[in-house]
Amino acid sequence: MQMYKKISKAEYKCPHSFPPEVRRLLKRILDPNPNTRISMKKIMENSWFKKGLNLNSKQMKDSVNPDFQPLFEPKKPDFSHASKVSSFNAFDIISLSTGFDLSGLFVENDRKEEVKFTSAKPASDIISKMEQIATSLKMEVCTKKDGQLNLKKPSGSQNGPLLIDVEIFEITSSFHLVELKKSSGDAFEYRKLFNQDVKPALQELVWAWHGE
Amino acid sequence: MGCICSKEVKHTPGYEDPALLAKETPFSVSEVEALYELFKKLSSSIINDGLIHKEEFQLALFRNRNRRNLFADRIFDLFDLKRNGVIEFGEFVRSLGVFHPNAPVEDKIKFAFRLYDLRRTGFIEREELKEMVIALLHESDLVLSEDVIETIVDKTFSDADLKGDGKIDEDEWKQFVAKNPSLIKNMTLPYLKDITLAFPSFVLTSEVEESEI
Repeated sequence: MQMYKKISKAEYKCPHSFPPEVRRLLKRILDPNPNTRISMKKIMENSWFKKGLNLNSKQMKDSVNPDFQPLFEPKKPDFSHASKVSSFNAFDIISLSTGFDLSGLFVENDRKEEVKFTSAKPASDIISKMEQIATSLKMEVCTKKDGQLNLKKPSGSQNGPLLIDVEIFEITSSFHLVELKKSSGDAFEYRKLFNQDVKPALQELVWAWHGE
Repeated sequence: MGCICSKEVKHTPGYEDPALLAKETPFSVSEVEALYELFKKLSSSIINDGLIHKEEFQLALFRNRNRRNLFADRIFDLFDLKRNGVIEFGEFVRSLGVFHPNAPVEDKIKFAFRLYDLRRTGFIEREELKEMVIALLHESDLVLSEDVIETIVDKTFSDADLKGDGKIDEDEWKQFVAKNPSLIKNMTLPYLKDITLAFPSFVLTSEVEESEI
């Protein structure tokens, strides 16, 4: 308990061996006020910080998401076989029920990071609409495998680029379920993008939004 | 100096010591305390008695206290371990523990089986599966013809019912899940890993023993 009180008052002591420049930097990092606290960018510009940086800079660049490295090649994505989407068995269908979705206990509907909708359009229509939306929002589109798309939007935020996963499941040949979720990036930015831009643009595809 | 900060807090029936619950679930003591904050909020939404009633559960899930749903009913029943019609704090934490990303997969598989075994016969019968599919379609305003529904149920059953006796027993279920791991996707709630971020008020009311850090 004491620890939390100290954190919120920024009550701490530096070991004697800490040089003054470190103490100054720490003071700005451990600022309890998020508005005046130093930003990641400024930390990285700090002279003391930069001293130890060179050894690890390559590792830091690669640690973002190793899975995505091979996808960002300047090749035009080929969607011709993306219409082969995973098909659902009866239990998959049942698991769609909002009665199972306990996330409602924790977050409001418009703050959920994963959304689903059903569509009566064929998979190819859904995919081309997604592609269209992504391009209009200046997002890069990559296909991971059949029925799955990844949308990437570079971002100035310290959480890195916004990555959205889109997965299309076939319930029957005339009904599909589409699942959209944020796989990395800033939550606020995702919600804003989704609620203001993505969701309205998807309306023509949507039979019903899940959970509404 | 360390000192025990004990308060005369009146707890609700079914309250269990966070340290004990932390030992028996994948949650840490702080996480159990954060769950208590959530539990207090949910259990006082309609009837302020420190217990989650079915209507309060429905209100929390659907923002609509009167919305009936077959699957929410099943979840409620399974959470209500003592079978007294309400969810107490201890039951809440223990049941949510199964949904934790770190909970053993066997627990999740078992829980899912009991969820789908509507009439609690120890088997998932074909009629139960069909009933659940129809309930889901009804809930989502999805219209599929009788033939299509039969086809979906038939195909699923033939994949799962290896003994061909018209029902899925727990062993067949385990094997089916092993082939289709996404079947228990809804048995994991990633939100549970960050519960202390969602309910930070626990910091100010923590009963954890204060100690030298």
